Amino acid sequence: MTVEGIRGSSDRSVLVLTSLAGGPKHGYALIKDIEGFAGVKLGPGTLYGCLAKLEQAGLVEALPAEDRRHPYRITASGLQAVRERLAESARIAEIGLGRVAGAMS
Amino acid sequence: MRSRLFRLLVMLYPRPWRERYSEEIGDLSAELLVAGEVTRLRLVLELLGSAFAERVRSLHRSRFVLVLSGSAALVVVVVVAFLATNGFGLGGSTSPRVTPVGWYSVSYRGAQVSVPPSVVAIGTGPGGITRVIFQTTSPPSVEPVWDLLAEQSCACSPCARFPRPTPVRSPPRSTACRSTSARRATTTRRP
Repeated sequence: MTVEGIRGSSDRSVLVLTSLAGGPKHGYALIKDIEGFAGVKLGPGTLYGCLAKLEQAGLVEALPAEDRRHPYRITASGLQAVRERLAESARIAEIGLGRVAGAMS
Repeated sequence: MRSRLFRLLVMLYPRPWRERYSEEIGDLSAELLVAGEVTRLRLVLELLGSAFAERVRSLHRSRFVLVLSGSAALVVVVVVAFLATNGFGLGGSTSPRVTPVGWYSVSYRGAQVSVPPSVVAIGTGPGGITRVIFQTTSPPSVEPVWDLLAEQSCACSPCARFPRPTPVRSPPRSTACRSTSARRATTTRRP
């Protein structure tokens, strides 16, 4: 998955990038953080599937292990990619909410 | 989580993925189990589904590379075949591959050449075909032509320069000089 490829990726990749945008995290902290702000509980296989794709695309990178925990952090490319993706989502959300409001009035 | 079941589950992942992430995913699974965040059954099912997804993704990448390399090889083969066969002309021969009805098929330099019925002789010289003798008069006056073709040992200048034309049809025997006869009764063309 390239930087452009995140446009068509699942929301899980966006959730992981959004979580890492708040600072480096290991797997358990990522799962708890995503569950907290999105209400989605990722399993370890799903989480590492996303991390593998994002790492291959250069959007995240692994940090040295700390006491059997393996933290990851978002890269500059990852920040730009998630910013573009969230801005696009916000634009669509704004248009959609405006139309819904017009239909309800 | 370092049980035999976990090792079996990890074996379901593609090898590069397994070598890179199996330790991390094992540590995370153990941490989730200890914290009571997930049941063992749910963890097994989740890892099974994830392994299947990774296998599909790996297969998709492999097939893409296979199709890409196969297409490139096919293009190379077609280009080489095109160049080797003179643009699919198969050997560069310009002779018709099918002899039309009424035409003659004669052998020239190892290839079969089709000629119309009006051609009665083909002369060859150092540069290839030097003359093509047609039967042009109506009614046909073929006798001088046969005389021309039958000449065996004429020493005149044109005959010395060029070999005797190859008859398309078997001529009757004669002793006349072929150069003088050709001017009288046939048309000689040089391509």
